[in-house]
Amino acid sequence: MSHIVELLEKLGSDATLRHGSAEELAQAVAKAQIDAAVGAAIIARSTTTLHTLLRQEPLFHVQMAPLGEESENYDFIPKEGAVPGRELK
Amino acid sequence: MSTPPSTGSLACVGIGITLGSHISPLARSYIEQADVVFAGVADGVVELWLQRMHPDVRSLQPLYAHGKERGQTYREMVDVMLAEVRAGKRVCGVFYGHPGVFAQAPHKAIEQARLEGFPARMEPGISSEDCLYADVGIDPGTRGCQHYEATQFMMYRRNIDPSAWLILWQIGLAGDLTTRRFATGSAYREVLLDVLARDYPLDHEVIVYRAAALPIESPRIERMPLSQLPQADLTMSDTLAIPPARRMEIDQEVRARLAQLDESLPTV
Ligand SMILES: C[S@@+](CC[C@H](N)C(=O)[O-])C[C@H]1O[C@@H](n2cnc3c(N)ncnc32)[C@H](O)[C@@H]1O
Repeated sequence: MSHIVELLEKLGSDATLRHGSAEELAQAVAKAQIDAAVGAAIIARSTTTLHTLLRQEPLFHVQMAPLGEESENYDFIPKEGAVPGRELK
Repeated sequence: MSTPPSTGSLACVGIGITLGSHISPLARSYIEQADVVFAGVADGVVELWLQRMHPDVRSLQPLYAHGKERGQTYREMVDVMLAEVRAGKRVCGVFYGHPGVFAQAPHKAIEQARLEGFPARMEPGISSEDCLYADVGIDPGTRGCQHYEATQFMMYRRNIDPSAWLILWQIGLAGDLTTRRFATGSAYREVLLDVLARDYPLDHEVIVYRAAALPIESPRIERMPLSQLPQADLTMSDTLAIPPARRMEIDQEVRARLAQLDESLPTV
């Protein structure tokens, strides 16, 4: 597993690989010591297959509810040194 | 490198959108120096990546549930992070994108920690907004740019400016007043369409955008007429970008005043 994540980190952080050609990607995969099926998913750029192989479910990532006039910080505009919440009675 | 003894502190940092590409050196350092790390990220593989940076990464995922009010989930996120701060730990909350952009828990947790006298800070990350500008080639400065959470945008009458960009976040959940769902459907987007039709022609081209979470992906940049929005396939990761539909209105009066000032001032 750690080799897979290491490879993905490299693909994300290397200027040649991030937007590289299919061959460059295939070479990077060949160099990494990873399972052939996972390597094939990466070469195919298939997130769905990769998630299945790594047993990753989709994650919830909604981080906000629509805030209305009833919300606690509705009137808060940060001022110098102010802490949100302290402004309100 | 040795780190000072903990007395309870909180840092909320952004890990960016794309795995490997966006994390800042400072965010990584906060993660590595923390006693405990909480993870609010958008992809399981990103969570695996984070686990390689710290031995105690606790996912905030179990706090979410279908049918549970999201406000409750966010309060619980604050509670679990604050409990460790109060226990004297150096806590790092890691959130995807920018921790303070369309994200309630990080702001609230920092506020609460400060109220209780603990040092707390937020460090910015690369947001999906930043990726939008780069991938689609938008400069918010050319025509101005308005950002709204899609449901809030529907709940209130806003004075939007159709001569600037309009960006709607959480478009996949547009119209969910229950805050217990993670997707709404075409019927809800029909309502949104009616709201937008007050200011935009139905054939106006809009852009559904999704930045790459993994470095093997390409961004989604799908253009469609506004009228197609209800039928679009949208997820909780998508953002809607609406290009300007009108020319900017010239303010002759202000221009004349400025010109007069220029004339009355000595030339430099
Ligand atoms: C709760 S907000 C969190 C945003 C996050 N803090 C950031 O900095 O991008 C979730 C919304 O952000 C936008 N978003 C999240 N991930 C995205 C992605 N990969 N591409 C485009 N927009 C995204 C969508 O509008 C989504 O509904």
